[in-house]
Amino acid sequence: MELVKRAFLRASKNHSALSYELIDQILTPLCELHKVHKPFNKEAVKAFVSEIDASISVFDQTLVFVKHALKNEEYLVYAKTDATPDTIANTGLVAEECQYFAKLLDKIAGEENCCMAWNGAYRDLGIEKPLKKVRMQELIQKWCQMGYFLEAEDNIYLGPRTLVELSFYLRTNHAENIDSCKLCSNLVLWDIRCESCDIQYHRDCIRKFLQKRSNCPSCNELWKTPLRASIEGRR
Amino acid sequence: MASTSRASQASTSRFGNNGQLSQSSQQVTAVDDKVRSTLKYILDHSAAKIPMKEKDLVPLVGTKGDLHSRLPLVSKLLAKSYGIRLHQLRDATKMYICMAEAPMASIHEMTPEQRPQLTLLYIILMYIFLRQMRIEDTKLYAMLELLGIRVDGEHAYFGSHLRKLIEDTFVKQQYVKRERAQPEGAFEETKTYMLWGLRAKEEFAYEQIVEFSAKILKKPPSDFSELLEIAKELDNQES
Repeated sequence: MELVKRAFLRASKNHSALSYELIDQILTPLCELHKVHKPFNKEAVKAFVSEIDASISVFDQTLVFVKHALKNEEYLVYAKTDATPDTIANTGLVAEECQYFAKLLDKIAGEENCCMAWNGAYRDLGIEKPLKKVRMQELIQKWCQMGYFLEAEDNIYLGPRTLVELSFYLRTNHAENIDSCKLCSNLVLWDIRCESCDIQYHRDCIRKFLQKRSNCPSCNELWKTPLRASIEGRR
Repeated sequence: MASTSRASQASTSRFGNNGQLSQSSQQVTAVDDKVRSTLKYILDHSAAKIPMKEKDLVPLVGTKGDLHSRLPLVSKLLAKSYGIRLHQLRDATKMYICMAEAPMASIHEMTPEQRPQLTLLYIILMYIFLRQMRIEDTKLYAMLELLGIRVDGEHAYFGSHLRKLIEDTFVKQQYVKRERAQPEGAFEETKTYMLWGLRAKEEFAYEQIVEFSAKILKKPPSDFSELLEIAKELDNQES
């Protein structure tokens, strides 16, 4: 099983952000090759990933699941726990390209809904030596593949890897737009808000909280914001 | 992405416990900040597959001695946690590459961008091998064109900028080596030859390449029995 864990870790690092479908596509042949039982459900996969995560945390690396509220999908992300926008330079970018990443990140994070129209990424962002548009397009595509950004409906959003890797940076430098869920302390974006106090929570976190209580954990007013129809516990 | 090691079939990593370590420095056995910095640098740079120079690693820890005393532990940690082997290139001065301990179980371990690149690389290494390990670049590109792959055009599967991929990326990654040959006569042009690079020699056995060519040419392996013999002979000479 250790061979499988290491191979899966290498694949995860290579992809950077993985859906459950991709996780299964990687794990199935790996487990068959090494004749071990594949983790048979999501909980087993999470436990498998958790073991790997524990072995790499000492190197300031992490392998962790994060839910992206925009897509309502969970992603497995390989990230560094001590990253800043500048350390993205370690991926072989030149100084101007690093600067472009940092400026793009700040621009998107500074917008009210943390999103930018796609053509905004090619405008002058104040880089000393502007990049050619073709190169910008290549970089954005690469960063989307790596999970730093996410393209949806002609907009660019912060991606799952950014939510994990640059969480501290975003909360510190963009506190006006970006906050943590009061229930789990992780970054929360594009998710459900209390109608009374407008504080934002992860849908799964508030759903779980409201299984035992009826009030908003922040303002203590009765929770009125509708949750989704497919609430667990009502089935 | 760390690549598979041909060395995994033979010897262990340069920094494995095989007695080939430099004994000039006292080995560090505990994970300190310098070990962590070195390991993180290697992890960050392994994805690009460009060999890491020792002179780029030294500033992370201070001195060459500091580095050499820690590289065995770094290598051990990389192998234990990631299954990545840190390997010093043969014939190269102080350059290191990362290779995976085992081949991939499926193409899904690669990104969609990497898959066609690996296929193209296999084709190129195969052709260089079939031409006795050295071929003029123009002839290589002519062969690719016969397969419908134009290095200055766009291919539906392999994409565009293929000349740059071959002459820049694969060369930097040490998969392919370019050699200029002095013209033999006064009126001859300088020729550029393509050879296997140091990384290719470490990662791929000639036998693998011959088996690959048997598959894509849809011929039984027995048709390549002579080439297989040559491949085995070359493998024996290498090891």
